[in-house]
Amino acid sequence: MNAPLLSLALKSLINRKATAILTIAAIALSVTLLLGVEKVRSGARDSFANTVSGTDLIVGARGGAIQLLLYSVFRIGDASNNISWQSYEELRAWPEVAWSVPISLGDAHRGFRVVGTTAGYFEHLRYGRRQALSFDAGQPFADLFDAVIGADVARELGYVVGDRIVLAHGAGAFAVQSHDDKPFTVFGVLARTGTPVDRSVHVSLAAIEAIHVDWQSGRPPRPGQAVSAEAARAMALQPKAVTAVLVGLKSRMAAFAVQRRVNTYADEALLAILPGVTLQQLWDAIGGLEKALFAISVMVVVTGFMGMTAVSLGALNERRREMAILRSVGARPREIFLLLVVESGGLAAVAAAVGAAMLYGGIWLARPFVQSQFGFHLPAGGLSAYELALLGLVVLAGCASGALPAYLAYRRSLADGMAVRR
Amino acid sequence: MEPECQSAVIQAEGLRFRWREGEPDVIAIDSLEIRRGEAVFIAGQSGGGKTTLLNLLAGVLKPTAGRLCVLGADLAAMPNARRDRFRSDRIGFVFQSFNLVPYLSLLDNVLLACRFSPRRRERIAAAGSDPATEAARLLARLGLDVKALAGRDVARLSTGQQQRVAVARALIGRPDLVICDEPTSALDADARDAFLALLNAETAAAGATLLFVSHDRSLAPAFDRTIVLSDINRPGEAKR
Repeated sequence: MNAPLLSLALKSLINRKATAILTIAAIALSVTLLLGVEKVRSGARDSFANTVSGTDLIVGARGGAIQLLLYSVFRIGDASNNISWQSYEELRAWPEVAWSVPISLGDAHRGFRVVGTTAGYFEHLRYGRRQALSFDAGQPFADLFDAVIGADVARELGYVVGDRIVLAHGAGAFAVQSHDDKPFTVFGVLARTGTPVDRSVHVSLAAIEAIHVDWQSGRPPRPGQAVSAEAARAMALQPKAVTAVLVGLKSRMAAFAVQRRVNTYADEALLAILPGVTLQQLWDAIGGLEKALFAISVMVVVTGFMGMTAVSLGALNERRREMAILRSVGARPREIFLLLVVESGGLAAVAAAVGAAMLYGGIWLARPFVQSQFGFHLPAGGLSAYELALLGLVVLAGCASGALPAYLAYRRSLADGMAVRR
Repeated sequence: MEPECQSAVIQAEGLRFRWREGEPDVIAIDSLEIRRGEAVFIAGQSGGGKTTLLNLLAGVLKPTAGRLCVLGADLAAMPNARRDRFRSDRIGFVFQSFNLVPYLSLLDNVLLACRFSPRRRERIAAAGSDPATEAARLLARLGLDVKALAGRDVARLSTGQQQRVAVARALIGRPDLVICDEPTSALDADARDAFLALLNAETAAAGATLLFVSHDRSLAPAFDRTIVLSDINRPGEAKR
């Protein structure tokens, strides 16, 4: 029963090539948009989640968990408080702690955040699928006034190893108080990671101390009290505080226990977060946009199908004779219904395939450009199960939008029989 | 139970049909019988219930009341799906015009009748042929050269050619009954006479009963018997 219907539907569609192709094009474009939005959505989520990996806990002064994540990982906003060096020293000595990387924020270089840290940063920090940082040029800082810059910093400011840079106090692009008395030398350039590391300038914790050694209560030195760079070298540059600590544990099983211990630490009000959990909270908070985008693309698909239904309804009148002939040779009203549904479903299936092909072709073409310009690796892969499900839904929606004209044709063939009333 | 259906091709008693409850009957035929092998001309004006009667005889519409036996089967008692199968197996149909599905080839239009009917395919196989060969044979008998017309868009065939393709479709697989609804009204006089001769000859060769409906009584002499529809159908009278 279905084989003749399929062949009839196919021939009928081929007969109306122009309409069929336009309909397919409209729906295929909408499918490309739908899958594209979905791709960007999952890509953004992945790249978001990939920003930090391999770090089991992030410790900062007590405050909001998302705030801690934002300033420690995304380098957005500022910490309201620091962790004392003493607390850090105790924490790093806990038996569960495998490694710890303190970071100290608060300075900037031409709009890029300066991160004071230890050499462990380059060793332990991971992004994406536990990828380690690597150097495009140079190496981790060795001297007090060495700096390691991220890939974006190097590209946007045109820095190479050996260039001298001046840091500024505060995070603004035009910070007025500059540390121009203690210039730094670019000692290493990190390879692109697609994370905020690309937009950071890394120096040692001692360097952060050094540039502030002559400052008093967060103000620049008064005239006559300034300490020269050379003099600073000779001083004890023991940090008094850090902004946050990235912690790796010997066993991830211990994460909750250590987190609890940090949060109930008696000597100082501290907060420990599990980066994955807080990332998810943050994503949930900003996820409204992605949902809106997705909703819009779904609307576009629906619009495509409404167009198809309209075309199909319009053709119904001129197809009454055809339906009558089919009835006369024994087609059942149900088969007339199926014929129209199969036609719409077939168009939708072809459109879904074309749409997916256009998207993947587009990604394939755009990938080198996007990678080089934005440092964003477009995920190609095959169709995910979710995308396949979306495509399946598109085909179902096609059948559903064929159902209205099909039902009308069905009703008519019941009522008219083989007569065509004119 | 109603009495068994007889061997007559069509046997109707007290046949009533109306489109909706409360509307007058469109068909009210007390008695109609058509015997096997007959070629019957039914003369009827438009609006006289002609098309409705044909839809009833073909099992597309279901009688509102009465008994209707077609080829020994009680159509009034048959479920919808079986009536559709019955029609595709046993009845060939030729319309007034535009008999062809525009997106199917000449041959596919003829084969369409076999697609929905296993019985027609079986009959062709039993005669030692296959549907495509049989279709070509019928078309050739009807004066259509399949090879010459094969690539032609069916909508561009002449009306006479289209009607002959429709006859081939009606006859393929040897149905028992061929019903024609004004098949010649779009033909000019010469084409009409040739068409009638072919139709009669081929229907007889296929052993089918022919039911030919037209408003044009000048065609009546070409048939065995004439039934004037207005003589047997009294629409709107039989109010119950």
